[in-house]
Amino acid sequence: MKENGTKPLTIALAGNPNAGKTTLFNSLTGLSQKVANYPGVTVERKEGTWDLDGDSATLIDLPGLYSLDATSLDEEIARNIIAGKVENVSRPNVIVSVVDATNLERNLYLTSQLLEYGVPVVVALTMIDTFEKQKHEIDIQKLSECLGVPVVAVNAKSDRGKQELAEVVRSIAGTTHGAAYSATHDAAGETAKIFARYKFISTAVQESVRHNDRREHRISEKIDRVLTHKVFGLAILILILLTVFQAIFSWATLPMDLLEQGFGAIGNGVRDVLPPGILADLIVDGIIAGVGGVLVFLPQILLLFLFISILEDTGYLARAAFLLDKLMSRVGLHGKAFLPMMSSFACAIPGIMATRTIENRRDRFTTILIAPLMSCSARLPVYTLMIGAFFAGQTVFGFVSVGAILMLAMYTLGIVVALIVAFVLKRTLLKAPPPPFIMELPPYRMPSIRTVLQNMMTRAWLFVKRAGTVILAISIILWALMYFPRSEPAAALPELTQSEAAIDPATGRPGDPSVEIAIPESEQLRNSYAGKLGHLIEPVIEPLGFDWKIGVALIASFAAREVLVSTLSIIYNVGKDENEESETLISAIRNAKDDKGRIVWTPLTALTLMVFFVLAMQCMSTVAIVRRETNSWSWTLFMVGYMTGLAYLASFVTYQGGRALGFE
Amino acid sequence: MMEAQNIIAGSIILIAVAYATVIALRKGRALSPKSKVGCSDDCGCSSKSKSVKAVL
Repeated sequence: MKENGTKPLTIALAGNPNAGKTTLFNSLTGLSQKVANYPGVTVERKEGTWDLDGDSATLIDLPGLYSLDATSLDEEIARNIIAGKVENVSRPNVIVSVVDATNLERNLYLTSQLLEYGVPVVVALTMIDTFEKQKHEIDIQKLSECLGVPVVAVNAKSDRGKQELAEVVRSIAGTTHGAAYSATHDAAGETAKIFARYKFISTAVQESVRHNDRREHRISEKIDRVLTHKVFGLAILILILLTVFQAIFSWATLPMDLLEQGFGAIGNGVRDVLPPGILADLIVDGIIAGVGGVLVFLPQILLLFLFISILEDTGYLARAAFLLDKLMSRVGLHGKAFLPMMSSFACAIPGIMATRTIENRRDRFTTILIAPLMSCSARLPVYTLMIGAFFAGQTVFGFVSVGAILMLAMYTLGIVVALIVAFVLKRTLLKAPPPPFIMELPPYRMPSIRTVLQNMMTRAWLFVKRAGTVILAISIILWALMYFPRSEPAAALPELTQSEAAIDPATGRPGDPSVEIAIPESEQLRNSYAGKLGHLIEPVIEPLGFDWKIGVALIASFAAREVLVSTLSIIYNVGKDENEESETLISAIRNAKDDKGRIVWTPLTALTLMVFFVLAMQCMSTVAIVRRETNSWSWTLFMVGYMTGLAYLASFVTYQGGRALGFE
Repeated sequence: MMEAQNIIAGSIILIAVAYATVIALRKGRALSPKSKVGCSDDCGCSSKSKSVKAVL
């Protein structure tokens, strides 16, 4: 459909957080997007194409908002889009106001404001199935008459009402908005306008809705009493997380082994086909070892996001937020900080962008500065590599895996340090009282298989894409840095002269001096550019129990955390001498020895490295987004500095403390 | 044979360096609050997103 025969229609989708707006947007446009179950998930404007009976219209998904009062950035953005004040965005021809039927009064407040903008509005009534299950009744025709705009009941999951919604949008597009609502026209002052709006809404709801008066305990409330209990709730939260981590380790073992064997077989196949030389080394030791080393963790990433999506979609994560909210407010964090912190468990970038919902600059900056401390999915391969190498198969009480406990400990460490940092910041550099915050607990729902699979597959694709692009490029560069310069025999073996080295061991006599002397690969690696860099920083990282090879991997991981795994994989492949048998990364780590022949990796070293990764700022993308969102180099550098300093200090304490306690 | 191997390996390394440079430059540009370029394609987060100021 075209506006005035030329321009496509622009439709804006507006609604409260958690009203089902994003689900409806996905359903109407078919785009894959994150759908969550707690307030405030939609932070950015998203666009899609909506097929209106053969003609396409641009559908804009506005940020989730409670009003258009423009107290937060989200509200300001939405208000400007509706008013047509945003550059390169057409003023909407129609606004679809998404209204949660189970929270009519609250949701209609935004609708009442939308009516004042002179743009035709249609109300899309969501959660209608839940509303009907609660045995309430709604007269849609009556509600439409009271509001003065069309009302359509929709269900994105079953496609109910989608066709009708498209027809209504087509019919009212281009018309002059003539809503009956004009209550605020007579009201003087903001307070009077608010009262007028609520009066208008109350009348409309009373006229059209018949609530079920039978007193019955709602299952949701009963469950909430347990899940949000300060003792039982916390215990259940810990139990759920332990179960999730345990499942991630046990279920992912087989596919991970298969993937590892698969990459090993591909590497051997390449070696068989290609003649020995630089190309075979690059493909096998650089590309396959580097990218394959990261890709083997795909099953764990899939499982992690499967569980996160299920917990999110059922509504449990909102209860977890409620549990931690009291703790967060005690340290001075804004209630709205929970969503950015939760998002940061997947990736810090959407988490930092989600802080736009926090109005107060100081509260917002505090949240930005602590969000990267949440253990993002890029840390998962590092944790699981370390746990797989040194703690696999160990249990506590015979059934709780030590790996799951350690994983939970790493996630908890990130949260605890974040709260401590927030506590300090809110009392020093970013002093401000926390504003009151009302949290909405969404109803429990059966998780939508489609949504869960969509979330899981989106994350899996991102992981594979990242491995195939950035990590591939970094792996090749790192391999080159570890391969070059090719050492001359005299440089590699300074203690031997050419003629001495050429002595035939069988006869004890000098051999043919023209015979090329093979330099051990471990020696080549030591003399490579990366090796020299590693040795340069070795004195700094030695107190943490790390040798120069770990140092090289640490430096590389400042580009992206997973690169640690690919770098270690390349290092132990490149540094492997010809007579050494091929082995997995885990066994290579277990058997690795330093220049003096001592074992490099111990459980304590692995734990120290994990602690370092929990706290260190090793993500270029996060640095970039913090700079953009704070518009300040000072705060960005402060974040990088405090996180790296904290990581070093905590790792030092872990390693030296562990050694003082008798651990190796 | 070794010549060909060297050329192919060298080309692969150069392409990787060029790609990494492009990514680094894009990240550099994304550091600016006025930037309209998404900074996190590789991360997959909001590659099409604009900064708040750009939207406003």
